Amino acid sequence: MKNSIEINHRSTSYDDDIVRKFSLATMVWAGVAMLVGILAALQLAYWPFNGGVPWMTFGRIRPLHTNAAIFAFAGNAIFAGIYHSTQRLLRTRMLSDVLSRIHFWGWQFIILCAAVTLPLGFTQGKEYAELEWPIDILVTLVWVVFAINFFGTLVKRREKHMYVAIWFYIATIVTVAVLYIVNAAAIPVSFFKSYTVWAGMQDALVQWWYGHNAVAFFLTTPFLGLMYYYIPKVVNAPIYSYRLSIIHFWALVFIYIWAGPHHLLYTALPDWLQNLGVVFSVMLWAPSWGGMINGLLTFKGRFGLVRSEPIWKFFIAALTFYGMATFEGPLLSIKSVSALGHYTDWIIGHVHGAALGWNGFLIFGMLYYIVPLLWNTKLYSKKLAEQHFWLGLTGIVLYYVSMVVAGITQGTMWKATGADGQLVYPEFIETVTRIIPLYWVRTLGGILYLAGFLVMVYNIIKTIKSNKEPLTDTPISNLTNDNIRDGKPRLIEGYATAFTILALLAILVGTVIEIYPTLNVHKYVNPEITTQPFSALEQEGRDLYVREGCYLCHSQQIRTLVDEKLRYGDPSTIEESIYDHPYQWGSKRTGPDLARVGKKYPDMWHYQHMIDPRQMQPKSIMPNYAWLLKGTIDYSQIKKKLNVLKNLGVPYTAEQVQNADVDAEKQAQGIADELKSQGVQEKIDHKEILAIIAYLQALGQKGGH
Amino acid sequence: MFKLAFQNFSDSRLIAIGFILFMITFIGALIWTVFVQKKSFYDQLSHLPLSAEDKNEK
Repeated sequence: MKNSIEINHRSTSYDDDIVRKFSLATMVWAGVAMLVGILAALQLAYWPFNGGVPWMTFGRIRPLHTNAAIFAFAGNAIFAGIYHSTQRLLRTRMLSDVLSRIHFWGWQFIILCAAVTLPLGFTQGKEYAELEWPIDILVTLVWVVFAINFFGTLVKRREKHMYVAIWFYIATIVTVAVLYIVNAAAIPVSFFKSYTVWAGMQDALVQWWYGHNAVAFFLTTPFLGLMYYYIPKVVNAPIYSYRLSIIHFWALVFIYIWAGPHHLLYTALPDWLQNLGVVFSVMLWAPSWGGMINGLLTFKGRFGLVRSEPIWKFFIAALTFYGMATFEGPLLSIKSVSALGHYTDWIIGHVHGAALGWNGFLIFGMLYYIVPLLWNTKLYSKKLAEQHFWLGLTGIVLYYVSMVVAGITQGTMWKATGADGQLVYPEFIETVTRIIPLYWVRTLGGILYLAGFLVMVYNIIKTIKSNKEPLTDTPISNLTNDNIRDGKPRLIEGYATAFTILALLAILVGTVIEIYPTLNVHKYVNPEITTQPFSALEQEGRDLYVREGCYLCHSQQIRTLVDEKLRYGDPSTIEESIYDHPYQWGSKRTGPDLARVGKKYPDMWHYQHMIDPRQMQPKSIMPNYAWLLKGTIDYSQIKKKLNVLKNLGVPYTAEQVQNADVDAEKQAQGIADELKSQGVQEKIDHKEILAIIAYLQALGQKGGH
Repeated sequence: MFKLAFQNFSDSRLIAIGFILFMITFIGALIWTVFVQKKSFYDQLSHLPLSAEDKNEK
């Protein structure tokens, strides 16, 4: 009897409990992401904020910040919104409550794993894709559970036609699966270590095809779906133009997938790919602004109410930031603008304008809307929501303006040449110290944004507590009006499978055209140029470089620009990084490029610089890496590592693999003896610092140019 | 065969042709959506989110 009541309840009501769970998780992880972000920002303004602790240092917590912001904060919010709106738009409960809970708890477990492993330095060394292979497998499994649950719900829906929000969700689920699996493909060395199957230029392309489309299909398309559902709901009016939403969807999913190469302009990536990336990035202006205008015009005739409705403010500001970010993105992808802005803090400002303004404010607007509905009560205080909005907005403005000014300042200083044709600021540090005051302003912006968020947390807790009745699921209205089998003709919006296949095709066209030709990387390699792979110790040092997240502040890619040649030397070539698993071209220069740093300084310089960078450069903001003096090189894994790399195409001989541990130890001893002969007193035999030095000294010394 | 089909992707003329083909497809879809389809159908779809489902929804 109890079972039949339960089954009847499930078939006549929506699963609101899962939406509540994801909504609460969103707020918990938002706090974590913002706190870690502020800690990272503080360290850039004043490096000792790492407390001398390895797992609190910028290179390790920056991946934690980005992963927490993207996959934990935004991810949980997306799932809350999708589970809430999908059930209502399709007028049915999700396919399976069990799958929903596996999805929820699986996702939280993944986030916990990330929160533990990333600060410990377990990373694949690829931005926004740092998680090691066991966690990648978990992500894939949980995503498949989500997909089965979602598509199963589509199959049992009571509404024939799928509203445009559902289209965006479909594109998200399908594309994220393709992106994640391709980019994360790796061969394990051990449970906590793997090497990506991609190398050098190929890896850079795949990574930015993934990285850019993680923005597109994790931070844009699902949010557009939420926008198309929640803005009509809060305004109580249909979207301004449904026709425009159709154009918006197809143009966006088709064009976005091509734009990744704009992250690699003036690099060793083949020119045709760079140009393709620029063209499609510029084309993105149209659909992006079409979507923004469609959202904003839904408020047409009602803008007066914005004064008294804080939730409306969040949605309108979110759309405005979406418009700003999607104007700035194509602008930054124009080659001449990229020459100035790339590798600088301008990009950080751009990203945070979108993340804090578009994603953050849309999430806050959605939470303020759905929490009172889900807890069957009213929002505790509109006034507090209003205060949250203004605190958050002030925070974003401070953050964005300070970073854009810092970026343009740094970019112009890097490029400045005098009448003699030489660099005006040859010392990189001059371009760093100039912008440190702006790093403090950025931190203040972040603190204000966090303060606003805490006001929201208080408001939401009070709202939830104001409900005194037991929580129940919302009954499905209009249960009998099942138009799915009315026999009337339907358009493509009515065929879920055909629609999904079309969406998949739209994203595969750009993917195949860009990535397939580069699979045969040798087509782009000059056969007369030879590149030597790293020695066993150098490879070990490279793994430590990846562990410490050095690539987050140092690039290894000299662009084909005059000032870069003057500062760093000849532009980087495809051949130089052809054996790099993963590539380490980087995307930001808080410190100088390291592509040719090898043999530029003696071992002793690197030794002192790693222990305390201020010994060599008094104004340096790089943290001390004194723990490299304590950590011992793990020779036991080196053979295995070289063997995996050999299987991936790095030309190690069987002998090199066989003797890897002995060779590494010998080379380390050589460096240690040399340092001791120059007066080093510390016990440095077999210490990690020797491997890092070996690696840094090998950069640019392996041929390939 | 597969390799043959893809080996010229770095050819700018081929990319231009592909671009034009997709542009035509896009413009075709645009005309179909804006001029061919009935407004009443889209009006009906655009009202899908507005049915009051939640208990204390206005």
